[in-house]
Amino acid sequence: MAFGLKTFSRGGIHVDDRKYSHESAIEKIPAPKTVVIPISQHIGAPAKAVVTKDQAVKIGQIIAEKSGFISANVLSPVSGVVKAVEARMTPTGFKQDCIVIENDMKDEYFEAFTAVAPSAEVIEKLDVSGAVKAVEKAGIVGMGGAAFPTSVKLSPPPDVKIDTVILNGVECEPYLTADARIMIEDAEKIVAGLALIMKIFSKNGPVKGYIGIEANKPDSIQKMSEAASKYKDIEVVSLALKYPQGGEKQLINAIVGRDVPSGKLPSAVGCVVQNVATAASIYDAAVNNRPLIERVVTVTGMGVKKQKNLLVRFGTMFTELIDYCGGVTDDAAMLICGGPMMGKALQTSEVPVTKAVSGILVLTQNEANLYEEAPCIRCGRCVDVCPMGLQPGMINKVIDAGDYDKLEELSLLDCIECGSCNYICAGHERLVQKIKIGKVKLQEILKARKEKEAQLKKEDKK
Amino acid sequence: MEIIMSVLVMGLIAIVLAVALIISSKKFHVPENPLIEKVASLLPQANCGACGFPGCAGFAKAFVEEPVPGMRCPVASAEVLKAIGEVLGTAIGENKPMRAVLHCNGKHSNVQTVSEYIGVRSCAAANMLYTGDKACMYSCIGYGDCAKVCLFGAITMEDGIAVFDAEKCTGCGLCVKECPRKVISLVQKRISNVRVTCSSHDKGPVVRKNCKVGCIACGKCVKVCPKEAITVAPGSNLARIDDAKCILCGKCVAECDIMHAITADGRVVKAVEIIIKKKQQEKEEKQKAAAMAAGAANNPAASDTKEVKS
Repeated sequence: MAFGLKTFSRGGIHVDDRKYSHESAIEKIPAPKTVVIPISQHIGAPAKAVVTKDQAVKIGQIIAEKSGFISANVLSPVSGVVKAVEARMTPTGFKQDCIVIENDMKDEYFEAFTAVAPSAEVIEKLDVSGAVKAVEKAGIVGMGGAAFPTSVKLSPPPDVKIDTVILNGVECEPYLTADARIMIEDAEKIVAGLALIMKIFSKNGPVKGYIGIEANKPDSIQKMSEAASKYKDIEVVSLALKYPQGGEKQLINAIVGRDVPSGKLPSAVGCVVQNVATAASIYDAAVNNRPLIERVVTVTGMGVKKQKNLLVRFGTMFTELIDYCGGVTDDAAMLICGGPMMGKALQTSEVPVTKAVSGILVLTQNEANLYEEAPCIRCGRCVDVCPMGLQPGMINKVIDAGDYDKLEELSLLDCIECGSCNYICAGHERLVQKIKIGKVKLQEILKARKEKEAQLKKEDKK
Repeated sequence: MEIIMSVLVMGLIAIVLAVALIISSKKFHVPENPLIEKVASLLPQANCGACGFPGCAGFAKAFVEEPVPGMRCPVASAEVLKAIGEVLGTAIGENKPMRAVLHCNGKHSNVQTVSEYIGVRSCAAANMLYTGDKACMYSCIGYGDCAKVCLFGAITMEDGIAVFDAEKCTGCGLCVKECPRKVISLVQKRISNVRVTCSSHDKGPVVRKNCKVGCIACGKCVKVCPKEAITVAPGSNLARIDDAKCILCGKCVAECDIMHAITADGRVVKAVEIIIKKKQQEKEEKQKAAAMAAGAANNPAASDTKEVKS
């Protein structure tokens, strides 16, 4: 609680933030000749492709429709012709069905849009009844990295009362600066987006809005405070530097002091958390009828020549972005999609930017710190830093022993995979990777148990 | 004197406790079928769980008390089954012995390595993260999850793939369940086995680019098989041999001479050598004949003179 700033109460680590690209303004890079659009860019059911080969499409046209409640539309980010619908490598590390579109460089939009500048009056006059539908149509998902469909978050069950909307401008992952730059350059739009979300929830009573920003971004805090001063009930909260403050549960704890119960969503304590970039795109979709076709991506790490923040169309290849930044250095050793703590190492840069890609990280051998695994010395530091109050070392031992039943007692499913334990581990054990295996095994056990119980119930009825 | 007292006291306590134990053991006796223990002692005692019961004792109990048709110990040899049959007084159908084989030949020397993996050395972990450090996303990952789970020491990891010892393998199937890529399957334990050592569903050109010994689904093996045991399922881009129909002639192994994606082991290897030799001879003869014919066509005078001379 240095300097009296707020932060979350349990665990957490202090990492070197390495925000090399913080000063570089967002550059818009030209749309590529071909884009590759995965039909599954979000959590939930993959969208269903509705275009076929050789079909002409325009910007904002739905090329894959949402299928199921938790799912999102996928829109075309360019105008042109569909070249193929086939499996291609994506930032998930696997091949997935993608729609390949050749850009005709005409940039024709499918539907007309407006360019209303954000202000308090605009939001006040706006009828928000159609806002959630507009968000759903525009294919907006959480742009912080988890890619949860936003329209689902904005339409909680009727018995849930939301009284707090929190915008997440924490960006606690080292290296990444995309959100920080958006907050500096587009503060008005973000705050208007927050006011819009608050208005959606305000039919059930007053709603308070917060914008959480870590104190290492004083310029972002200043710009956002200026923009927020024009609205009632919106407060910018400066937070102490601690990882993983950007986790939903940690942020709620830091700002309003509420604890989300195990296995529950933030709506259980009356909160909704949205990323700042998502808020801006919600404003664009609901007010201006603009589809979500591009996002800001930080290309950084000592492995690229110039660290930059780029505004790119979805479907642009990582390779093109890295080349735009001057290419990789000679000692580049590792490519990561996302931040260094929770991002995913990739085997190739021939993958497209999707809605969830917040950063492209090229690390050098020195930065990547690829230590050999050594035995656990039971120092307990992982327990100290776990923000969810788990025992990562113990969980690791149980998984090694194959005692998957015991994982339930250890509340394994509460793990948010933030990587704090991994970072602090004296033995450099790959704790998070083990935990991911454990989660799969535990879910298998829980599923089998559920099935068995259902069967027993059936037999009882007979 | 003190010694005698203590001996007496301890002796007395011992007698009282012994009596109590005898009474309780008689009173609280749980009758158990003695056959269960007999059967359990005959079983392999590996407690591998391949039968679906918690260990050999669990299987023995179920087998004696409420046998269900089809219930079997997949590991037990014919003699063990016979012995169990004698104990129970019934004949037990013979166990078809099985063994596990790998449908991949993605050794480091055969398949391209495209990245360096530094995470947990486990196939399951690597398979969750990405398509693996080998170029082929269907290949054996080679970190040995199957070897770790094998209770009979039949699997060793060599040059990035699992190698199965046909002698030691009992066909319990634990490795088949464990493999995240599903490149292991059970086949009949015979004098040998012929299988397609590839699991790639990629199209031919991609396979050739990634691997030296992948199946490109050319279909030559399908044509040469006398028993129609080989099929290339539409859309799968992969040949598969039906083990039940395969008569181990080895013709397909000899036919797959470009990619070498069909592998035989045991005695068939010799048969294959013979077939290949024969093919080679035929080819040479054909070439000779062709060369002679060509020579005759090009230089009729020369051939004429030859004939005259002879």
